[in-house]
Amino acid sequence: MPLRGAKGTFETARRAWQGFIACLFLQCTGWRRLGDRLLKLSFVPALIVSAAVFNPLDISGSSGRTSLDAYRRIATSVYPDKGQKKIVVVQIDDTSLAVNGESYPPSFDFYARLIQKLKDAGAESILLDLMIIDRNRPGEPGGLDRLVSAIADFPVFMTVARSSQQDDSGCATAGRQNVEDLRLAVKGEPHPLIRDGASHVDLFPDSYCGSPRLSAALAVYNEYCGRSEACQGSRNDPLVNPDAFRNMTLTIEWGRVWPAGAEAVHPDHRRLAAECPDGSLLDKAGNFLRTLMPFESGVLSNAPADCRYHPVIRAEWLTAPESATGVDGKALADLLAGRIVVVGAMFSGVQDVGPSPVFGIVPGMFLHAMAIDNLIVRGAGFMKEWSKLGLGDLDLSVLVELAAMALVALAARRIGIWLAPRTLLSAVAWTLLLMAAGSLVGLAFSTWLVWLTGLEPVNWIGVAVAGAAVAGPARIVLAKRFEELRVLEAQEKSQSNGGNA
Amino acid sequence: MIRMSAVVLAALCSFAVSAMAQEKIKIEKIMFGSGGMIAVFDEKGGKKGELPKEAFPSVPFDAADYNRNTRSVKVNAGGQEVWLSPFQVQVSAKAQVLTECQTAQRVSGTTFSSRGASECK
Repeated sequence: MPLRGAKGTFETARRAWQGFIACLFLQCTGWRRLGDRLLKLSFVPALIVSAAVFNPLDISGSSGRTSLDAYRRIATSVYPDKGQKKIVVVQIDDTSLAVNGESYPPSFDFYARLIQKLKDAGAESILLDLMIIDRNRPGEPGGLDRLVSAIADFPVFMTVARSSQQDDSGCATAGRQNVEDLRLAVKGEPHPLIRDGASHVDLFPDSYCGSPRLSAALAVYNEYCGRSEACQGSRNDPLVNPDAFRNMTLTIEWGRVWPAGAEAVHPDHRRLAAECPDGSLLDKAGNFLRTLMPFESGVLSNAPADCRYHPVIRAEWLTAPESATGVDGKALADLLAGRIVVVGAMFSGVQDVGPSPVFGIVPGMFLHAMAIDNLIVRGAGFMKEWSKLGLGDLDLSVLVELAAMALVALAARRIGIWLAPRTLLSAVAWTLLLMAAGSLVGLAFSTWLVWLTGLEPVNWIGVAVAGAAVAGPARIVLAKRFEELRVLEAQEKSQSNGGNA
Repeated sequence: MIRMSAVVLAALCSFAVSAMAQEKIKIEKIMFGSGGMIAVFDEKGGKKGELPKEAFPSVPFDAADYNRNTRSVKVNAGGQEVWLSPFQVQVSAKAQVLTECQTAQRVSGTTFSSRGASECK
């Protein structure tokens, strides 16, 4: 009995569905046409919005990152050198340890000697981007006390070491931290807070892992501003204008030109100065063209791998000057005087690296140096991330991108109708050309928007490509072909119906 | 039995609430400027002047007040109550809420390098 009842219900539902379909075909033709039109008009924008919201295969993210990196590479040509003249990077690596007769981890006395040398040379402040977590180290007894003495009463900042233990919420609270004596001795222990593939820095998140956190970049900039008459008390001073820095994310801008003056320090630097980007008109044009080339890796393909934006000093030049052949001691001291010194390490097996759009993968201290540089150069007007919309990864730039995409699509459609290509091949070629032209216009528009708002560039590549693809000549030709096929099919159907009758 | 449990539960809750209310914000570090001086502010963020290192108790010490909106801290220093900028101090303040994204990410750890990278704020 129950089976018969279910069968009856199913039959009723089937009849109702058939009736609905028949109504659609016979009685509701007008509505169906309208529905068709609406569907046609709204399908492509709906597809684009859905792609932006659901972001399958990270299509929006990858074209967004490419847009950002390409913009940052091109913008290096006009990036001011004010910060470059204020920052020096000191690099420690396995060679530094070998020259000093040290092994990993280095002794406290090695660091103490290095810091003392930096102070003697007149460094303004020091950021140690190091992890000094082990109290038990090789070296003479009392080394830690000597390091603490070297640090005390000098503006030394040390980035927070990564913790290996987490509490219930997953927040790192304990574990591998910097040696307590050093944590107490340094002026501040800020956090790296570098994220998104090293493209952004959270300057001062109010609530990060349970407490407000100060980034290394802002801590060092704050120190700089307190010593700079031009900065102190101005709108660029974080103490006077805290809202410009609290809960703000800095998008790292890059420079690429070799630091003038650094070549006097060492013969290697003289060689690099001759081979690294020099900021000439030819160099800028080459950089622009290479950036727009397809399949460009993002690395300075025509320059040595050692090219850097900030002057780099090897630690052993300071800690073991007797073995540093060719180093000009006076030029070295001149380079350090009055500068912010970022000290970092690159030991084999202890990787602390991040990607840069200009120099490829670089050690972490160069990321910190560039973020500090951005703050010195731009002050409160540093390049910022767009505000979030509260819908996943979406931010307000998506609205601008959708509007720009509609404009590009409109222009592409007009141009497509005007060109009226006959073959699909020529239509595809015109579409590709429109995509390239649209990208250049998008880059110009994006640059204007960055200048106007101080916000990072929108996804100009995605806008141009999607806009030209959804309404360009290729799409028009394809639509025509489909329409012709539909008409042909309808004719064949009516002929076959007539034959049957 | 139920009444007894309810009383115990209420007592535990009130204890927890009072413990939270009494939780003091500790100042763990003050970042003095050049010459051992630090800028001090009024409640509205206006600069009141500068105070020397000696005017402050040795860290860690309890803050007199803490503004959770601006993250500024009030301290008794040099015989007066002054406010310090959030960029000048390290405090023990714990935030109230972690987003799901933050929690998930902190459980799974960083993905790219050892730089404390994060996808959500």
